[in-house]
Amino acid sequence: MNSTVRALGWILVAILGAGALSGIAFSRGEPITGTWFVVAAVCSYLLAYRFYSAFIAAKIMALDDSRATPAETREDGRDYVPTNKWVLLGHHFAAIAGPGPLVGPTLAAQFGYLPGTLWIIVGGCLAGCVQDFVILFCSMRRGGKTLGQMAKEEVGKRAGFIALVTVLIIMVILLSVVALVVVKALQSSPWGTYTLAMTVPVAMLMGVYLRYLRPGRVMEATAIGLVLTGFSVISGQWVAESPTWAPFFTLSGTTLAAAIIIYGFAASALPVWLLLAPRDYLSAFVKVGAIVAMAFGILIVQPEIHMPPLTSFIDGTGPVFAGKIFPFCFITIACGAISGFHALISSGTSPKMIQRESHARMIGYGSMLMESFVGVMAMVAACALQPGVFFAINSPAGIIGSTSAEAAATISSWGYPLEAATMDNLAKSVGETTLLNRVGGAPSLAVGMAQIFASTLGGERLLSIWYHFAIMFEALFILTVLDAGTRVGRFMVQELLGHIYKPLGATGSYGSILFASFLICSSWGYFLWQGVIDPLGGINSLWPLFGIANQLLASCALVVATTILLKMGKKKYAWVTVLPMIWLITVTMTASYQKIFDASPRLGFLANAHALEAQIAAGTIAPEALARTQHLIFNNYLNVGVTAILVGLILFLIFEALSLWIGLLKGTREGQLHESPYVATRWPAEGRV
Amino acid sequence: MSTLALRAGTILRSAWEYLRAVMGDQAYERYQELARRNGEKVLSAEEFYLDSLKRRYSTVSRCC
Repeated sequence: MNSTVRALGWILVAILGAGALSGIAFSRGEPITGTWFVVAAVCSYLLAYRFYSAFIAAKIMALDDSRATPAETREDGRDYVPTNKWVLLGHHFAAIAGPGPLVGPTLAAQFGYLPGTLWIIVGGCLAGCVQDFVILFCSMRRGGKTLGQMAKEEVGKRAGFIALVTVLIIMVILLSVVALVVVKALQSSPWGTYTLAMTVPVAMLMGVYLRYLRPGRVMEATAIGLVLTGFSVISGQWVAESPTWAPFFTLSGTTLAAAIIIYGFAASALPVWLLLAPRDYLSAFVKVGAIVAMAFGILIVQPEIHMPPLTSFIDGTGPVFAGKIFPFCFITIACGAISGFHALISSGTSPKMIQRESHARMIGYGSMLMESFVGVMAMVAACALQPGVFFAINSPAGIIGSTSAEAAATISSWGYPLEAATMDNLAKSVGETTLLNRVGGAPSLAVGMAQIFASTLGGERLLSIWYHFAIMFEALFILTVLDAGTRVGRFMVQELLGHIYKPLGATGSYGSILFASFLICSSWGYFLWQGVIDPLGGINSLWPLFGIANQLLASCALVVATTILLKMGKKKYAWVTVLPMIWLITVTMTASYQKIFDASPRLGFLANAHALEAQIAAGTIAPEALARTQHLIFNNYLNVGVTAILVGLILFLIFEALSLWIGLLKGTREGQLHESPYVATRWPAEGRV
Repeated sequence: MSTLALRAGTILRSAWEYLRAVMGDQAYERYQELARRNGEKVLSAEEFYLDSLKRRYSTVSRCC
């Protein structure tokens, strides 16, 4: 009887999910609300978790709770700490959730809500969650080894080196693009700039509290930090309205970029307890809190979706970024569906904290489902805006002009009606001078979030507070990624330099720290600068580059996972990792080819460089703009180089793995699995003693 | 009413403990217990805190 009721329950979930998905897919003009998206996503996630992840756990991994995990066999109270699965779920989710699932879907809304939403849900269930779960499992069975170490042991020595270099390149591009998102969100915004600037002394105060006053009392320090941060959001309005202080915090893109580069250098070189760690605590709280609030907000407000299911920009002519729906929708969504970076977290601290093997399913697969849901919410927030408003905020001045009248005329001519007064009034109501050309996704998401929050609490009166809260929330955790990423990048640079000249690899030497910090900051700082001065807004070239790099890292992780499955003798089930891997390789290789060789100067780096060279040759460039144009030409060639290096590295890894797979399948090569030996757990079946 | 208040108190206390666990507030207490059990030298709260930060931020700990 019970099993019949359960089966009927799951059938109901399936019908509900299918109905909501059909409603989203086939709606043509009928009004639909964000609730349809939430129902479609949640039902799909429940089914995927219940059936697909259980299938992977049982048939492929054969998770075994009688087997001791590294947290038990190596328990040291520091790295290896057996942790309650709900606590670890919180840890793991806070670690994987970053700006990607918010910014990517927002940008991809230029194609309409349908392709992005479908990819976030389907890609999340069949690719992203699978990658996170399998890598977490592999690392857990290997004492918590990193992706690079597993690649080296299971695929080959060169694979480990490729993984290290790929991660370093991705880190540089990632840091530059997230910094660019912050610059575009804060440009000419005294309120936003002041609020974010205030988080630095707040974090330092928390750092001193945690180090000297109450060591390790994170909750107390975070509570103080939250109150002060809330005050800085509210007091930002006074600063923005002050004729004395407003000019001080009204900064241009280049000034903000310089400030962020200096900040990154300081965060990398300063003691971690002073700035990085306290900011991370603050950001984790604000991040999770805002995401939960957004979920409730969407359910309460049920915002109407104004964006059409498909826009005319699926043909590649979109103003937000260039490129057709295939492959660029999948490249742009990035972390909302699958992120190579998650493989680094899944082979980082989490596998060392798992108490029971069966918990890996909830931690690996479940956390990524939650991240995918964040992507769906971002899509809802972006698509709840009028399309004209969305395009006005996210399009660069080079395409729509820099005045409300020009933007309204251009965007209306595309078939998305917009009046100049609409943009002026909207900017005024959120406390900004303008919302035009604020590329990068963060401001449009903040407007969408603010409208949802204001409809729940405070109404129009609090719209400006909510907008700046949303900007602070996005910028705060982007800066946390920047802090932590720059520091890890510095360690990687030191590791590489140490092979050339040993003293440069000494992590305790201040000279080496400063030199490596300078190298990593100047690397991502250069790309950031490139994005800031780009007449097409920077996001057009940098976000796809980041998406390609991130998805290539995911391909790398799936290659390692497939190799391990084949060595485990699970040939029959290898399709679970092989299919998403083939899809990702197809998408990234197509996108890389188009970004390098496409004939359109908006899309292809080479075409853009050639077009600018032709303008110089024809003498149409003013003498004062000559140096800048030559700089843009160089940047295009640099982007070609970076893309080609990434593609070359991953192709090398794939060919190395392919020869091993063929040998394994034919039986001509023996697959030595580097799993830790079985040790029976000392803990009873229900939880630990 | 008092049962309701009691239940609300329990829920709030559980939520607080959960947040403390997720944020790492209980890490030192747990470490102390283990180090004592193993007969190792126990680090002070400050030493342990600095050591845990050094470990956490020398590897990829935050995603994009």
